[in-house]
Amino acid sequence: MTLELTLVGDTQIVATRHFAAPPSLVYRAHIDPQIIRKWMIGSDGWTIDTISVDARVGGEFTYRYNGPDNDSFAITGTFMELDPGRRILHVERMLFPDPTPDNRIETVFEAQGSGTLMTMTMTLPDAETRQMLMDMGIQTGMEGSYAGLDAAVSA
Amino acid sequence: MLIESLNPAVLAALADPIRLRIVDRLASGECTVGELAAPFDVSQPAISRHIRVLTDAGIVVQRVDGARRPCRLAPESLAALDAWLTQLRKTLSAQYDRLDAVLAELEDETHDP
Repeated sequence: MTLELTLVGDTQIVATRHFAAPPSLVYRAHIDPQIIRKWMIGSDGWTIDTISVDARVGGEFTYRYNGPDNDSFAITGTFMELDPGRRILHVERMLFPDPTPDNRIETVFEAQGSGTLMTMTMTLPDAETRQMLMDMGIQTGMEGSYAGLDAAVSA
Repeated sequence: MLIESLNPAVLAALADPIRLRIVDRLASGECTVGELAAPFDVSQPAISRHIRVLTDAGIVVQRVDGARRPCRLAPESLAALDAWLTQLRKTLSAQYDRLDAVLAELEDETHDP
């Protein structure tokens, strides 16, 4: 499967990806803490130490990451809209422990053949924030993870 | 240094479909303003304004050749952005590859009660 990555305007980053599983399952993989901790982890050596996810509108989530050299950080966020099997809108920020600016993320799941087309749009407050997140991603060096992405764009 | 060279002005200058296509065209070599304007249904002065945005951001360099002002890319201006996007793509790709495996397991569980 190929990931398409596009910069839109000066505050957005759009990622699209096809998955072989149906939208209901891909959606679940984004809100079920026991599934999230299996894949939404950084590059080798990173793990999600503790995770809590309250997948309701207004509900909050926290992922605490541990990495090599005792590095750690957390991601916290709030669900704004949940359309089961179709769409998630949430805001999140990383805590180092100082928070990064809020990253607003819309994740849309659409049936495509027997699988799913996922479109994830990250919207940052301004161009400077996107650059700052890029800088953070580079500094934390978390290759191979969604967290690395968040770091990269919001760090 | 990668971080310092990721200039918001470069990103903003690229955030336009016509300018992106101009950059894409210049990637294959130097062009005159007229050649750059040809594919677009916009005036040459409008194209010149787009080129001005790109030159101000350091993405495009223009030289004087008699009455002509041929344009070329300043590739170093895009190197940092390219490096970052490459890294981001690699990072996300690895993560979603991992999700593929997790989803396959979940589907197996669903099918084998």
